[in-house]
Amino acid sequence: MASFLQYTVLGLVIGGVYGIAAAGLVVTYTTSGIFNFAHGAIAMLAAFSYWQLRFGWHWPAPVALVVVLGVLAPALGAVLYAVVMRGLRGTAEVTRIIVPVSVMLGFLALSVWVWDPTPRTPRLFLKFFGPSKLVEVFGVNLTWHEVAALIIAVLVAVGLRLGFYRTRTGVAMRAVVDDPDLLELNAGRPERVATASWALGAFLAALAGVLITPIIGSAMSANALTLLVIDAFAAAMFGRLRSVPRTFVGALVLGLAASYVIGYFPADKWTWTGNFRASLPMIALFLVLLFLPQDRLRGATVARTRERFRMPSMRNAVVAAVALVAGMWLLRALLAPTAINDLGFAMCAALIALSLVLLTGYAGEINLAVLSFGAIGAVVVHHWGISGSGRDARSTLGGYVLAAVVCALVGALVALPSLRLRGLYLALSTMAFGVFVSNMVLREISERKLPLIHTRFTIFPGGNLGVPRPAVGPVDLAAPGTFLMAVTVLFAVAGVGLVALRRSAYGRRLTALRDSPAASATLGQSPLSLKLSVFMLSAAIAGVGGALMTAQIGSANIDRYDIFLSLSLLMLTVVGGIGYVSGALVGGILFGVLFLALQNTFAKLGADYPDLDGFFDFLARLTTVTPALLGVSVGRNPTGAVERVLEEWVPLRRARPVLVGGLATIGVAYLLALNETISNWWLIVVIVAVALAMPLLAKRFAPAPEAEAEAAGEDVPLELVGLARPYTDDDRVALDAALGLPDGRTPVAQVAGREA
Amino acid sequence: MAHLEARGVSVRFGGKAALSNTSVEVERGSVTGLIGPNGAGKTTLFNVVCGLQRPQSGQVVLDGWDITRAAPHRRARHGLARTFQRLELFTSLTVRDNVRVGGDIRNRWGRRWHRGSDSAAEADRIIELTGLGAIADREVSEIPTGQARVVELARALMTRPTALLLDEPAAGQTEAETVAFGGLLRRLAAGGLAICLVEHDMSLVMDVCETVHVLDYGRTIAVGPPDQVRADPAVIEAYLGTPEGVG
Repeated sequence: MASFLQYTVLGLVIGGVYGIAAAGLVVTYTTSGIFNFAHGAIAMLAAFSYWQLRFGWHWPAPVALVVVLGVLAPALGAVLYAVVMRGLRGTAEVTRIIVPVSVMLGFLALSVWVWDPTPRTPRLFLKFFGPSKLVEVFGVNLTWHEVAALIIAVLVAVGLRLGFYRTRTGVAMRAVVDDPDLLELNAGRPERVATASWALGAFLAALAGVLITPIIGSAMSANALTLLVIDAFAAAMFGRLRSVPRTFVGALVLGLAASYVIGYFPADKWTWTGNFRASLPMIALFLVLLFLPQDRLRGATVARTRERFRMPSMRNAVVAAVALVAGMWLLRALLAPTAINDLGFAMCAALIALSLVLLTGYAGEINLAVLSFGAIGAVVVHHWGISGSGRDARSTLGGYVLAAVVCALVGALVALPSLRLRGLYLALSTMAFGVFVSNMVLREISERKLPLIHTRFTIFPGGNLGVPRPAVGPVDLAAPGTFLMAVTVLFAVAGVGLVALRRSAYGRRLTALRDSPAASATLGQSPLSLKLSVFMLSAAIAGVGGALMTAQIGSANIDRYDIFLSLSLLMLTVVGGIGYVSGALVGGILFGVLFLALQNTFAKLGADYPDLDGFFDFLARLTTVTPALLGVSVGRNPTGAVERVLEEWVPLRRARPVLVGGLATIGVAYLLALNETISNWWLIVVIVAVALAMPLLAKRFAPAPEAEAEAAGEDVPLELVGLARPYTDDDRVALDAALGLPDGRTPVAQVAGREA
Repeated sequence: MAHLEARGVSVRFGGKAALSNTSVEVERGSVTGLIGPNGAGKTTLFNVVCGLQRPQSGQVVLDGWDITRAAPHRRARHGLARTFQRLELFTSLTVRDNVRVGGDIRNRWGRRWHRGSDSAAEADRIIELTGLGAIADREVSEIPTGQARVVELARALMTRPTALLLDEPAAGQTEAETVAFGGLLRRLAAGGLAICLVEHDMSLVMDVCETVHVLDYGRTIAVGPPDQVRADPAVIEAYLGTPEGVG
């Protein structure tokens, strides 16, 4: 009984801290409509900053607390809103999810940059008021830190409740959610209110971070603290991301459950207890999703989002696919074996990114754990898709087909509970699924006797999953170059297939559902079945891509399928252009090759020029933050990089000589590189220079013809005349006729004069 | 029994009654008008009929089938179509594809002999019928509101409905467009369609409707032929205020 009380009180303490974090999440979400994925990362940064001040530089605790909680955290929140999040109005849900995710990844990279993740002496973050002084409450021994955490949680809960309903700012905060424009008309200041709420949210995150770090363990892990956002959103889901009191109830339930699991699940008998505890928030989240009532079908959330994706033509798709395969064939001859392997990895990543183009670009749904489906695909091929053994082992076509089927079914199970809800909920449940797969499925490294069927089975044997290269019938794809070409051809075929899909009736139905669920449903489209089908198809592609990626590297450990890698891949695909197949290619190559290559280059340059080592070291570290910065830039250019490049290259259609000349220059450089007259670096320089110069030259030598501009002016709608082209007398006649006025030819002045 | 009936529908948002015990009947081959001041509950009634809003009480019956609890897409498959007052076009598709997707969707659920029908050819026919030919290949975000409303109508027609709900289709149309639109509505009704029209443009309502229902604060205050409704004192009061207030 005493131990039960002990576990209960400890559960309440943890739950209280979850509650503080979750309340911060609710505050920011309700006032800005943006789900702050960086919430845990802010908590992490605060905990590390506090550690730096208090234990690194030995500042007194009160001063360090005031600096971190009173100054740094609120400032970070306010700046984050003012600089990044405010620009997300009028963008699609995808963009409003990707940008905070990028911020999260950026903060994570930043913390790794500043605080070496493997320090020589482990960082100790001691409890407040000393770790050893105990106080007895109801017969339970608690540290003062835990008592303080409980009291603070209660104060925060009560304070927020009163603040929201009893103060002007609180009421304004609630108003800003419902209708920012209306609030502005009523002399409120929605921007200031939202900024204040982000400062408050960041403060609460920081408070939770500083309180929970010494409770969950002495070693500080940036990843674990960042994933605090999942515990927080699981709790916030109890209050449907709106209600602060219910959020605290949810947080307490989670805290108690975690505490009882530790207390009453014998860890020595059940090896999965620890993993189960870590997965509790995800399990709770799924259960809550099952019981949430159906959302009302919405119309378009914004009249016109800033994302514009053109419909690609079949001809262009086929030409691009052939060009990609041919280009890869030529490139292969130049590259060193390691580079070929890196490129093969990148093409597998691009294939996985294709699943995101289908799901997110075409259908507007979001999967934040795409590599977890890849992991499941790899597990399936590992167990059921290998023939031969030793060096002759090959993965079979049947294995990949099975992987696709299994992933589609798992995808259906993951998506079903949240498909009837808003897109954000699907995104959150995929993220929870990703962490669940990492925590429970991929940690199943020891053999288990399965109940009922009495067989022994290991999901992830020894923590390393081996998948050999595939062989299709008599064709062996094991050689790195062959494998690269095989994956490239597969990508090209799948890409053309996706374009065909987009242009088909199915693609139009997807677009319709994405643009306006309400209109789509009133035409007879069942939203659930269409979303389910596209999610399953996308999961199947991701599964095959993940299995191929594992085959590329031969054997993979659990880190290869980490949730943060899934997030990075999604982010980079959005940077490339999530609405296009080429966006997947850009995303995959950025993910697989580019940053690695840049870092290696800087490291090599640093070694070559020892004087500048510090500078190149800085650049190498900067590249770890760059992806996140690119991701944040999505807020400014949500359509992606590919779109911009395409627009730049439009004039080339008129300037054939420039195009031919540019390609010829690249061809010559390629041949020179092939017989090793120039190095590959020079080839890259030439390609980049030509790619930049061609559009400029084309604009210079083939300016947009005047006739085209005039032709475009002819069917300007009447209300745009004067804006789209000059206003003429003919227009006035047409206007008068449209308005039913008598004499169109009479100038206005004369009419006025006659009446006088 | 009428083709489409809403019987005793009540909807409350918090403490505010948007609809209280409202009933509307729409016969095939006729246009029924639904008028009333802003906030009278007209759009809410449409949302209840097409399934986007669940009523606290009341029934919706289409073709003798109680659809009160059916999902929106089930109702559409049973022959119900609508347009939206706040335009709900698919903004990343062209006008032609907006219309065509109606056929694409129907091809998935239509009866066997409907399936696999050529949505492109049918879209061309409907675009011709509704006079959208000149703007068929424009992006819907570029076209004027008046024409966008016609696109919504064309898209709805692609599902081959038996009952059609039009929510302020003439708002944003020029006078000439409205006249043409009225002619189109009469032709559609003559083809056997049951049309329910919410509209503020009285000339259009008087021109095409056989019966007019007047709503005010969620209650039906008058029902009858247009001329009779126009003379009804309760209607005049709802629209113009009480004589004292005006005087």
